[in-house]
Amino acid sequence: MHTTVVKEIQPRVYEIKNNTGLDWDAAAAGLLSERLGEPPNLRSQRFERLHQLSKVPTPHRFMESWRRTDPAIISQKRFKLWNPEDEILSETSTHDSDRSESPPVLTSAILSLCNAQQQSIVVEENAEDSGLVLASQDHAFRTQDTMSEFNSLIGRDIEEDDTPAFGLMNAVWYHGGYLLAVPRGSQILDPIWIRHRVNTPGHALMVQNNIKIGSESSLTVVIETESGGEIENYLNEITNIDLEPGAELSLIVINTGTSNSRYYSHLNVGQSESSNFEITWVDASEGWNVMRREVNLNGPYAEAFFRGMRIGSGEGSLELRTKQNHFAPATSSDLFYKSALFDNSSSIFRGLIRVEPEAAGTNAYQLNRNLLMDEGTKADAIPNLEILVDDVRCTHGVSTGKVNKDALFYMMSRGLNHSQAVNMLVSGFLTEAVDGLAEEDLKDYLFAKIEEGLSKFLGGKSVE
Amino acid sequence: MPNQILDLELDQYKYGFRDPEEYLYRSEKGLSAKIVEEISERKNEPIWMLDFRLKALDWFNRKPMPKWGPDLSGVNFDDLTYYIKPQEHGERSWDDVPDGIRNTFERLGVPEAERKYLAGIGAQYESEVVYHNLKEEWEQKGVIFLDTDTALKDHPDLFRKFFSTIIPSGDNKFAALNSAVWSGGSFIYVPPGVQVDIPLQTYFRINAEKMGQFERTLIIVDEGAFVHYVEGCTAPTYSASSLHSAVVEIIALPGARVRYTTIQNWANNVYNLVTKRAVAYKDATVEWVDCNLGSKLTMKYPSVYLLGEGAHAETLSVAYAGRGQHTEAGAKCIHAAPHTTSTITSKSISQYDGRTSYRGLIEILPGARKAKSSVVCDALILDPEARSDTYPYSYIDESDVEIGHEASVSKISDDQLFYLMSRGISEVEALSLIVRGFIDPVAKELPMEFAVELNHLIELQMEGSVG
Repeated sequence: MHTTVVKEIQPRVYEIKNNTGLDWDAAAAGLLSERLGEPPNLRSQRFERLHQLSKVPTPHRFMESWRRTDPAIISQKRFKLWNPEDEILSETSTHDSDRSESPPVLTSAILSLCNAQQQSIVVEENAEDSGLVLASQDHAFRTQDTMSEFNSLIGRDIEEDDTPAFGLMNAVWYHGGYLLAVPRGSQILDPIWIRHRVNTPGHALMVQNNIKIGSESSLTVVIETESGGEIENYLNEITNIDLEPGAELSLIVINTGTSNSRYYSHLNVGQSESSNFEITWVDASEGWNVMRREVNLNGPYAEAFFRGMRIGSGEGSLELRTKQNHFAPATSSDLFYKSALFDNSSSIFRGLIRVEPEAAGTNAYQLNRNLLMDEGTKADAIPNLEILVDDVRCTHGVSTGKVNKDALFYMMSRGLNHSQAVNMLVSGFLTEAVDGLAEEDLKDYLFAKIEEGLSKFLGGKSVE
Repeated sequence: MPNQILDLELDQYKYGFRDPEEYLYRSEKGLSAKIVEEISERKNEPIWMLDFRLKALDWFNRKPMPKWGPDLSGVNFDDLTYYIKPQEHGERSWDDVPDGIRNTFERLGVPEAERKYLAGIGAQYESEVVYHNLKEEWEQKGVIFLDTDTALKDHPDLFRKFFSTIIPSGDNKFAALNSAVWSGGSFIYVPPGVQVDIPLQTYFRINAEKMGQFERTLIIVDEGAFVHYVEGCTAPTYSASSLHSAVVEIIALPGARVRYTTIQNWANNVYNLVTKRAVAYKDATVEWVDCNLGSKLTMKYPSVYLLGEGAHAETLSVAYAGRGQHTEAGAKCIHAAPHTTSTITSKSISQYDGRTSYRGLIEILPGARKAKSSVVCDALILDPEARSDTYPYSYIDESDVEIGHEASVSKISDDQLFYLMSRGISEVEALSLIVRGFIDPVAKELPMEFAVELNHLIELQMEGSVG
């Protein structure tokens, strides 16, 4: 397919000069709002949230929901807010990696962000013609043209039952993020590729993204987030997704982070009738991560699929909190999450399937499997069910253990050496989680990511 | 037609009858240090026990009401009677038990069960044990089976060595309450190597309105010994709530095996908030068989601390919740030693607007290598207004383990019903057959007479559920 680039903005490269940071106060909220060029209603919304924030408890380790992941790691006392004013344009390409590698597949658009600010954007003609809206918030507010799409989404309340503090902090001090919308009835075949590089040494960055897919439209979006550098940094990211009736969104999330990355991420999906949401993720962060992923099946026949895998290494910890909320009849959801843990890494899975009385005819499943490869690894699982109606089929399962000795023996009896056999079992174990992805070339890309992640631990050993 | 339905409902709880409230002594309503002192004095207890009670009362007053689970707002501590003494002292012959109380237990079938298939039995009425007996054969082997108050008097050293070592008085609000006002319950000691191969049983009956029953059970099974203890509970139906808050401590010394079976069938006005915990030393086995059919609200999480290498825990549980009931039954296993194993099988049925919840914990502590645990929770929902929850927690701090958890929730499949009905079985029978099949993994572990009773109770609950 021949495509023409119709919109390309030259990359801007930033250099970080002694960032003095901002305090967690109203002045900072005002400054960040001004910098994005937000309308006054959004600015006053920030101040409302600040007021709410002062009323909610600060999360701490003695709360049952934070028993296994210490929220003090991302405490406001430990970080100042990143001051975007201190980030200046530079000719030296310190973030060269952002543009170096082109995506492995044909894309409809590529957006590169650095610390929530747009670096470059490429949109193919076909996608532009289909009415695709893709921009970083700072650009969108300045040009005004795309804002109406998102008025209902930006700064929207996110229900957070136990600890609303992190969501509120984001709503008060967000630095920006991306906006993505497709109008009704558009079929954009090639994926949208979003790359976000975050490095705010010693500082906190709040990011808010909004995605809206119109009726009967379908889209695939790949989001690669890379965070952390030599000094601890904290990224708090909220992504709101709205699917109109019959919309289809396949989201592929690739997360890598250094051991200094502190990442709190909340993905919140609202689904209308007959919409279909799929998320497939590969996570290889070595840092501290809390990932909340929630779908609200608000319309009948809506479907949601979670497929994810994680390679844990170093001291990396990841707490995945999922919710499958069924509010409408004949909805279905399925979660399949696998992790292979090395070194001293840990995994915590807290999942909830909730089926409301009006959601008769629901099917909901949840499966979490953990492979503990090294002595220092840990895996907790808390998969909850709340079923308020009888006409359902809900199951969940969790298993945690080491590599199956029988399988190992079997493979070695077929002539593989120990490391080859382990390698094959582990990569087979992990790839199963993303196997359901329909796009073959993207699947191959994810398989390659998994092999790359595993090679650190198993690759070298397989040759004897 | 309405009458007919009403009849059926009344029929469902067959233990709802009551006796006139005539007692030897009844404490004032509400709870205070004065009442605690009075209970202790009436029981003629050693001073250390009074101290223990008062300290516990302090814990109770300081602890907040637990907020993490079911709604406890209906528990009114000031409106309850904490101690009722129905007769002078516990008897060893039914002939000496006052007629009214004896008739109640006759109606419940307790003396008959004793004659037929039990090694020993206790019967607790309100706060005190009115009858307690152990067959001579077992007494000669050194088995002790007494009500807890008598055990404190007759075996003070053994009692004090183990009492409250598993559940400290400040463990939780309701354990603290029990520690402050406990009365009655069973004390069992089985000497090394003795296998008590037919069950011991205690039957708990609440008769008075707005009564609090706080029995305290302590079971010590010495090395290589075995005992099976069964408890049954019923109460009359009142509109006001009663509270049953027991504490059960079990110590399984190396190589011992204990099975603790509960057939809980409280009336639907009883809050059943109990703390049950066992420790299992090297190669010991603790089994909880827990059937919860009655009560307004049950919160019960029988737990086993696996402290010695090779210890094993097994929990089998059936929970039923019908009209207005919330049954939260769970299980906990804490693996603190290598090669420990645990299995939990939970079956729950919710009907009408009833709600069942499973809340459980598997914790593997660092160093508990080769620990294995498997949890299976299945729930049946019979009506659109019914609710089922599953809250399984697993905290794994050791990598060399095998942990599995599975749960499923569904209604009775139309295919199964259709199949049975096409074979000429009525809908009610088919339903009850499927439900009985569903709980069979637990029912088959019960002694035959109890399994028959459980199946019968489930049938009663199912009656009137169709049409």
